[in-house]
Amino acid sequence: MAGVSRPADQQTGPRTLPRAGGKPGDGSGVKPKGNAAAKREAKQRQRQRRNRLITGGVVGLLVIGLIIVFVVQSGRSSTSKKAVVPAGAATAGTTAGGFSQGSGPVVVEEYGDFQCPHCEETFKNVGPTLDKLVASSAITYVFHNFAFIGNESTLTANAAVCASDVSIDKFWAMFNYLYSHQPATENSGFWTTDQLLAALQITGADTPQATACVKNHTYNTWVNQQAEAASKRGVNATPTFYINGVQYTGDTTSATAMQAAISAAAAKK
Amino acid sequence: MSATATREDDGIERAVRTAPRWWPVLAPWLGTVCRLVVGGVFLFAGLAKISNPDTMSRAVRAYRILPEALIHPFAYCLPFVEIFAAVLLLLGIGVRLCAVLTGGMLLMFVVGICSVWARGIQIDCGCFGGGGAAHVSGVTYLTEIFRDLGLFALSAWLVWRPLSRLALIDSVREEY
Repeated sequence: MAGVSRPADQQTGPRTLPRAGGKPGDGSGVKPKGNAAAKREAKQRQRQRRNRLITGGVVGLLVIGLIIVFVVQSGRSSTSKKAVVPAGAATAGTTAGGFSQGSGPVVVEEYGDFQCPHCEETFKNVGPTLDKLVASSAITYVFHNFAFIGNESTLTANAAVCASDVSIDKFWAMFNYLYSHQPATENSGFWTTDQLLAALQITGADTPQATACVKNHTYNTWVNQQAEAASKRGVNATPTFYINGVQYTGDTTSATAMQAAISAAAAKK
Repeated sequence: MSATATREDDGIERAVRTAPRWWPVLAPWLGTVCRLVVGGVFLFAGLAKISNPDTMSRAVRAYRILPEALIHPFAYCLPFVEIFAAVLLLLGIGVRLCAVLTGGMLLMFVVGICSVWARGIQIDCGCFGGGGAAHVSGVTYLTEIFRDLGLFALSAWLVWRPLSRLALIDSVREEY
């Protein structure tokens, strides 16, 4: 600060001299001009000090805020919470967290969201083919919940997982029900707890335990942790398929394309 | 006369002499518009992102740029920086510093989107709180890049001219 102001003082000295020399008769005019310059400089110095104070305050607030926010957000994240793990889900390997059907040699995994319109399309177009392949023991079909579209994605996924506690067949009954009753728009308020309890009743999964599970959102944390796991695997869209662990890049709504990819995987084995 | 004028006088006097008369009136109001637009967008985007830390983490991970260890710190802290800079911009406090923050973030977003686009990854940018998962086909990267560049230009203006009208501290009245 002092190092900056001193040269400025030295500069104003010689600068005012020729001005005073230019008008020799007007001696009184020099003094107020010098005063004004000094005042201006003092004002500027004050402004600089104030600016530095504000900048320091802003940076300090930012750093303190960052620390607080990091702690708060870490606490809010599902990864820091202890989840109730459903007994029906696979526990090991890449299929961990998935619900499987059949016992064929080719493992077809799907990451889906019950609210996702493309998943519904896949359910309608490719579903029957997959069912046939499961029935003929050609494939093992694994469904992973990747509930990412919003609150109703988590609610529907939780309800399906609740049904899996009754029996794995009830999980698939809910799976079918949720996809065949998908509303036109996402997060429209359609999937309420009452609506999901009605679905449990229709699919015959309305045991007291499953009903309580839907009401208490028992598996919400687990469902959110599944989405985290899927994201770590590289899933960033639904539906995403893996055939024998290799991500399927073809048309997910075409039964023929899916059938061809599965046949190719089977031939490789 | 101009040779004897102080450096400060020189800048202001020359600007006053050469600029059109409406410019000193309009320029501070342009700054106000920049503050409101950039601050408004960042406040909205930050609030959307901070609401769900899990979604934000997935969005950051979907870019496949940061290592896993940095995903959570980045995902938890970025929305706060956005909201922080936005609120101060809207209030008109520390405008230059906050404009540097928003400008820096916007450049980072543009680089991120370009990188994802170049690698052929199809994701929702997560700009306004999406989870990085693209459930709808159709890539909108170009519009996102232009939007961010536009906001970057407004931030750059504020770095250049931080003083504006309707500001709590960085008000233009002190300059003129």
